[in-house]
Amino acid sequence: MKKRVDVGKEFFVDLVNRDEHQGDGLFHAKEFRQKYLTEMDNQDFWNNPQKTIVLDFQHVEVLGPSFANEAFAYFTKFAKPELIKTVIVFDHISQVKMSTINVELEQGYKGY
Amino acid sequence: MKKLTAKRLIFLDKRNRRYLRSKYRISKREKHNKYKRKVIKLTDPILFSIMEAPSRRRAKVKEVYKKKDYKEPMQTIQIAGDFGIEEGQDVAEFIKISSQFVDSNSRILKFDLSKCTRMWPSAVTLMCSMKHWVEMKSNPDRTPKLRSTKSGNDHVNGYLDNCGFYDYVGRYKDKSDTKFSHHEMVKIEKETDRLRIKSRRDQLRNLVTRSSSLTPDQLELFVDHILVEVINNVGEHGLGVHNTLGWWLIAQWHKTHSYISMCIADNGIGFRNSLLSGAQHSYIKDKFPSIVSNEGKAIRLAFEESVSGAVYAPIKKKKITGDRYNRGSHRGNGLKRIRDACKNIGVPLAVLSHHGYLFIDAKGEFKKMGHSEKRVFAGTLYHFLIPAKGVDNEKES
Repeated sequence: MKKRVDVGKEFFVDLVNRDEHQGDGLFHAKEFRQKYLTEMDNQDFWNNPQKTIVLDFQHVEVLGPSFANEAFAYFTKFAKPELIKTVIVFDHISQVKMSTINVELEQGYKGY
Repeated sequence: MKKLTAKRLIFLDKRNRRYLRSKYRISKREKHNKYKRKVIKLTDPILFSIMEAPSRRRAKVKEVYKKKDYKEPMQTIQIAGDFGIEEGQDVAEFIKISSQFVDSNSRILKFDLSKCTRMWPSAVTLMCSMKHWVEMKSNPDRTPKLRSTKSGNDHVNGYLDNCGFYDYVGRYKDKSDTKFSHHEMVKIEKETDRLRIKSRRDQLRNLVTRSSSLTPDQLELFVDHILVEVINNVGEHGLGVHNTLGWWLIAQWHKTHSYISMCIADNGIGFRNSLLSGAQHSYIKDKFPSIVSNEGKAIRLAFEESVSGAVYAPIKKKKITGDRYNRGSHRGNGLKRIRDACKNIGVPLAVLSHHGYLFIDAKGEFKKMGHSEKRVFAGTLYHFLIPAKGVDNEKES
């Protein structure tokens, strides 16, 4: 099953806040995760992922590392970055924004 | 048997009630203590460290902002020449001058600007943070007075008026013939509304888009990694008092120097105190003891290592391959991302935080780092020099 979300139009154009305490506290990563990725928040889903979500970044203007870390790298506790990127597909995304997500996925996974 | 009087009966009844009440209170407290001991025993030491973090942070804030009496006689601070950290050669002088007055105990602080030839945005930010500092450190009605003279250079008076400094500190405006274009600057303001963060960030973004010489990719990196992270940082560490959020920003496009000077600052407790009072305090203290006495090293540590001063940051766990975070999202990489992004787009960065300072050049190398016995900045200042279009290529664009 495939679901498509136009992030800029359906959520917000500036993806910057980790949670409600950061910045203006609006449109934060935790809210995004709960709104669109809530089914993925358990190990069972990642053992045999049946669904795919396509996040369209065409209308997204800003993506901060904190947001990417909390929204996407959060799932590295369940699965490897490669698997996450096959389940959460990023469409119409700039190179800079994709590299932000890649860095967060890799470092969220590896730790230090 | 002796008959008790009504008065005596009332007295005994009251005494009995008092005794029962205190007995009830003691047993309730004992029950609670027993529960607390049980919980603490069961609680993971890491989780417990996170649980006690807010009180540790509160204690640090109280320590830094402990009220003091400004009793000493008037102090005059001479500011001659250019004042700011924008030009490398002025840095030592800036540190020397700022360390003279941030920790001052004088009733009146007078800034003699008569021989000042330029006030850079970093100096304006220092002065505005100083105003907040004395207001927070002094007892009500005993706030020291900050005064400044008119500069002999009309450009300085004009800039202080146009950049929002006079409005910020509430000083009367000196007449000046020098005018600045508002398209070339983002004024310093009292930030009072959390909901204006996006619009203030957009003002900086528009200035950089208009006047920087960054490519579209570099611009995107600057906005996504630097602007967003730094504004998030100051928003998180600024202490909102006197109807303000406890952070400031100012930027100016210097055409003749071909750069944009951007300052983003907060009035928080600084790098060292944050690291030593956050959830990771014991790990940091054990592993990097030198930061306790050297704030410059604390700033450097925050830019080098994956450590966080956040109150609810996760704790690293000891593993065979070294100390690691659990998998999943975590904090503590924001400043590393900022440094990496600055290196990628060739933006020098300077950080001043209470007693310490750190200067990182456009290649990402640490150039100057130090600790001053006296405070050099009342809070934390992030300063960026963004390559911009100069006077020559302005028309081309």
